[in-house]
Amino acid sequence: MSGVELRGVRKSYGELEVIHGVDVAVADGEFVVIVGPSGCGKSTLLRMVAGLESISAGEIEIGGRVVNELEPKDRDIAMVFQNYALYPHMSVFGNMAYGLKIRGLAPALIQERVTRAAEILELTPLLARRPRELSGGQRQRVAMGRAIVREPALFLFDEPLSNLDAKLRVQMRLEIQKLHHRLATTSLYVTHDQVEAMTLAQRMIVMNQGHAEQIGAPMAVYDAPASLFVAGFIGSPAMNCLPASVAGDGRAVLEGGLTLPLGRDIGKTAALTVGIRPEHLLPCSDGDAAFSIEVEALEELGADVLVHGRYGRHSVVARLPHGQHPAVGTRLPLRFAPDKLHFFESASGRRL
Amino acid sequence: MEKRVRFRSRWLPYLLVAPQIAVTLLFFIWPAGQALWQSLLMQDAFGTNVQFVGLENFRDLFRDPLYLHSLQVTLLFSALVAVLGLGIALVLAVMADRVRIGAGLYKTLLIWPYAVAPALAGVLWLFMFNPDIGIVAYALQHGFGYHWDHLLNGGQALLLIVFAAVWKQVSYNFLFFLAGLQSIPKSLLEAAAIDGAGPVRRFFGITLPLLSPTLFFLLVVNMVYAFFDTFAIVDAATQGGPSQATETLVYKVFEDGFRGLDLGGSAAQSVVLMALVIALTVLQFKYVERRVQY
Amino acid sequence: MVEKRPWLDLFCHATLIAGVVALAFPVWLTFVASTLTAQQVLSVPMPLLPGGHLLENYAAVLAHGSANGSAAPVWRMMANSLVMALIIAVGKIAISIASAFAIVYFRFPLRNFFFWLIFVTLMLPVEVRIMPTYKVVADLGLLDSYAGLTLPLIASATATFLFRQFFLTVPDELAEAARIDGAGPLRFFFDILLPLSATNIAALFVILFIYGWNQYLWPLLVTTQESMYTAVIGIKRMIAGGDAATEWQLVMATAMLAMLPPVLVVVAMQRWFVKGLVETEK
Repeated sequence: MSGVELRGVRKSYGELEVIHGVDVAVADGEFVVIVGPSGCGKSTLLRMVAGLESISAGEIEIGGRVVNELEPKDRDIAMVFQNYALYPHMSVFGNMAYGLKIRGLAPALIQERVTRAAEILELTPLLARRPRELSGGQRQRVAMGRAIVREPALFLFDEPLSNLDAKLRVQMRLEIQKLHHRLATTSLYVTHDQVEAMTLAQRMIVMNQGHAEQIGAPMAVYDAPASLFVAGFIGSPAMNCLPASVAGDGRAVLEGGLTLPLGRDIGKTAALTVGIRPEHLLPCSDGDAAFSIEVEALEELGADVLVHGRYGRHSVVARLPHGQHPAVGTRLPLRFAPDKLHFFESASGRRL
Repeated sequence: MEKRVRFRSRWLPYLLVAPQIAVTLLFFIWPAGQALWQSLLMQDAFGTNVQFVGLENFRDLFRDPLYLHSLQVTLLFSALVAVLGLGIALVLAVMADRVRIGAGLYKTLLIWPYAVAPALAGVLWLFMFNPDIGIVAYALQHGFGYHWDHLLNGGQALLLIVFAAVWKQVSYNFLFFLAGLQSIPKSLLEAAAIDGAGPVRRFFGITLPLLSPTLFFLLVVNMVYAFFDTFAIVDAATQGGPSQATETLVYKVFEDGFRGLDLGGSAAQSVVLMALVIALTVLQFKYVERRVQY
Repeated sequence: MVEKRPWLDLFCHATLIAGVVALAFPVWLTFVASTLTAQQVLSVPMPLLPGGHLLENYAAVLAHGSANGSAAPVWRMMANSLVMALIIAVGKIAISIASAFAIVYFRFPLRNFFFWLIFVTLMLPVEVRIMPTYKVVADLGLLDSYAGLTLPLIASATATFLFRQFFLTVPDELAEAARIDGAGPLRFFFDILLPLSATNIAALFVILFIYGWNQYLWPLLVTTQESMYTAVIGIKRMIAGGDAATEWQLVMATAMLAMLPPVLVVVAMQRWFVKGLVETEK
C-alpha cells in the first residue's frame, strides 16, 4: 500500500498560519494535482510531504507510515523540481545514478535501472552529456529519470513544466500522462496552470490562501465548483458571475431585472452570486432569449468565437461555435438551460 | 542573505568551524587582547617589575617626538606611494584599454610584479641605488651630476622605499583600473563622441567620474598597503634609517619591541595601529556597500 | 576607441612599452648581476648584458649560500618556502571552506557570534599583533617549526567570506535534491559543493600561495636556525652588514630563484590569479 494521507495538516511561520488544515486521502497509484494561484500554499504543502518543510500540526502518512519526523531520504519519495536541480558537474548518467549510489546499490543494478529509465524517456544517446549541453525539455526528462530510477512509493512534482515554452509543455504533459500509465506510481503534482490540472489529474485539490477549497475529479470540480473561487479559477475563459438578490418566492433577481428560479432551499442567504459558464450561453432568437448582451469585442479562436459583451454593469463572455460573428455594438440574445446555473452565497463564496 | 536550505545536525557545524575558531582565538584574539593589556602596563625588559599605568603609555607616545616623527614619515610615505602608484597605474590602464592588438600581452607583462615579494623589491631597488655600485646611482652621478647616497640623505632614503613600494603596487592598481575601465559602457563614450567631445574631454568628463568608485576603493587599499605591508621593504632596503628617516609606524613597533624591548610602548603603538586598521576597514566596507549600488 | 587616430595609438603603445620596460628593468638588472663574477658586479658601472657565469653562481648559491653572509644552502631555503607556502595555501582554503559551509548551511547557536569573530580577524594583520603573537608561539614551543611558521597566518576572513558569498549563490534546490537523493551534509559537501567550488579554490590557491611564499616579517621573527630560513628572508641575511663585503652576484642569484615560483604561478595561472584578486577584494 503506498497511498498518501494528510490529516489536519497545518503550517505556521511563527504566529502566521499559512496552511489551514488540509485533509485528503490519496489512493495507491492515484495521480493527484494540487492547483492554485501563486502564494496559495501548494508548494509549501508539497514540501511538507517531501520533508523539506516541517509540519506545524497534523499528520502525513506515506504507505501507511506516519512520516512527520522522517528525513526526506527515509520517506521513500522522489521529487522533480521546477528548475530541474541537476548536478552540473555530473553527466546525465551520474545525475540519475547518484541517489542509488548513495543507497549502496550494486553497480550492475544501477546500470540496469538507469538504462531502463533512459530508454523510457528517450535519453539513451544523452547519457554521457553534462546538463549544460542539454535543452530545457531534455533537462526536465533527466530530472524525471532521476526520480524514476529510485522506484519510490511516491512521486512529487513541483511545477515541473513552468520553465518550458508552450509547445514543449503540451508535449511533456502527454509524456507525463503516459509515464503514469506505465509506472502507476502514486503522484502529487503541483501547478498553477489549470489546464495542466484538468488534463493530468485523476483528482484535483484546488487551493486558495492556504485552504483546500475543493477536492475531487476534474469534471466533478468543473461541473460543480464548491466555491466562487473554484468557479472562477477552473475553466477558461472563467465562469460568468453576476450578483443577485433573493426575491421572496424562491427566485433570484439579477440587476437588470432578469429573474431566475432557484429550485433549492438556500436558507437565510440574502445576497447571491449567480454563475454560468460561457459555453452554456446559447445564441437564439429574441423570442426564446432569457436576456441579451451588448457586444463589445470578439476573439476568434479558430474552433470557437469568444464574444465579450455587457449586461447592465457587468461583463459577460459567451463561447459561440465557429462561424458566428455578431457585430460589435449589436445586441446578442442568449438563452440557457436552468440546470447549468450555479448559485453561490456572495459573502462566503460557498456553493448553495 | 539567508539560505532556505538547512541541514540538521547537532555537532557537525561546530566541528567544521572549530579549526578556524581555534586558530583565531589562539593567534588573533588572545594576542590582540594581550597587546591591549600590555599597552596599559609599564614593565622592564624581563617582565619582573610590572606596573599598571593606565593610559600613560599612550600619553608618552603622543608626546614622544620620535613617534610623531614616525607618524609623519608614514603619512608622507603613504601619500607618495598612493599618488605615484595610482597615477602611473591609471595612465597605463587607460593606454591598455585603448589598444586593440597586444592588449592581453601587455596585461600579462604588467601584472607579474605583483608576485614579487616586497622584501625582494626592497633588495632590488637597494641594489640599483647602492651609492657604491648601484647602476642608477652611477647614472645619476655621471649623467646629471647628482650625488645619491641614501645612507646619509634621509630624503633620498624615503624616495628609495617609495620607488620600491610603487613598483610593486602599480601592477595591482593597474589590474583594478583596467577592470573598471572595461566596465564602462562603450555606448556612453560613443554618444559623447557624436556630441562632439574629443578624447581628452571624454576622459575627464565621463571616464574619470565613472571610475571614481574604483579610484576611491584603490585609495583605501593603497593606504592599508602603505601602512602595513611595507615592513619588508623598509627592513630590506633601509632598516628605518638613516636616523629614523624611513622609520614607518609598523617598523617602529618592531624596533621598539624586539630591539628596544620596550614592551609597553610597543604594545601601545600596536593598539594605535589596530585602531587605524579598524578605521580604514570600516571605511572600506562602508564604501564597498555604496559601490555595489553603482 | 571611437576615432581613428593613429598617432594616438602609437603614443599608447609607446607608453605601454615604456611601462613594461620600466617594470622589468630592476629584474633584468638582477638577472644580469646573477650571471657575473664578484668583481664584475662591483665594478662601476655594472655591465648591462648578461655575463657567462650563470651556472656557476646558481650552483654555488643553491649548494652553500654566500660565504660572507648566511651560509645556508639556498635549495633548503627554497624547500622551506615551498612547504610554508603550500601549507598556508592549502590550510587556509581547507579551514575557510569548512567554516563557510557550516555558517551558510546550518543554523546553530553561536553562529552569528562565530561569524563576527572571524570577521574581526580582517582587522588584525600580523603587523598589529607582532609581539604577543610571537610570545604565544614561543610559549607553545613552536619556534623554528613549520607549525610556528604557518599557524598564525592560516585563519583568514577573506577566504571564508569568498566561499560564503559563493555558497549563497548555489541554488537551494540542488541541496534539496541531494537531500532527497539521500545525501547527508558531508556527502553533499564532498560530492556536490566542492566540485562546484573548483574555480574559486584555484583562484584562491594562486593568491594564497603567493602570499605564503612572500612572507617576510613573520618568518624573520619565528626562525632562528639557518635550516629553517625561507628563501625570502634568506636573502636579507645574505646582505652582510658591517665590514664584510656582500657577494652581490650570489645575492642576486638567490633573488632570482626566490622570485621564480610566484611569478611562474601568476603567469601560468593568470586567469585564476585575476579572478582571485578581484573576488577577494569585494
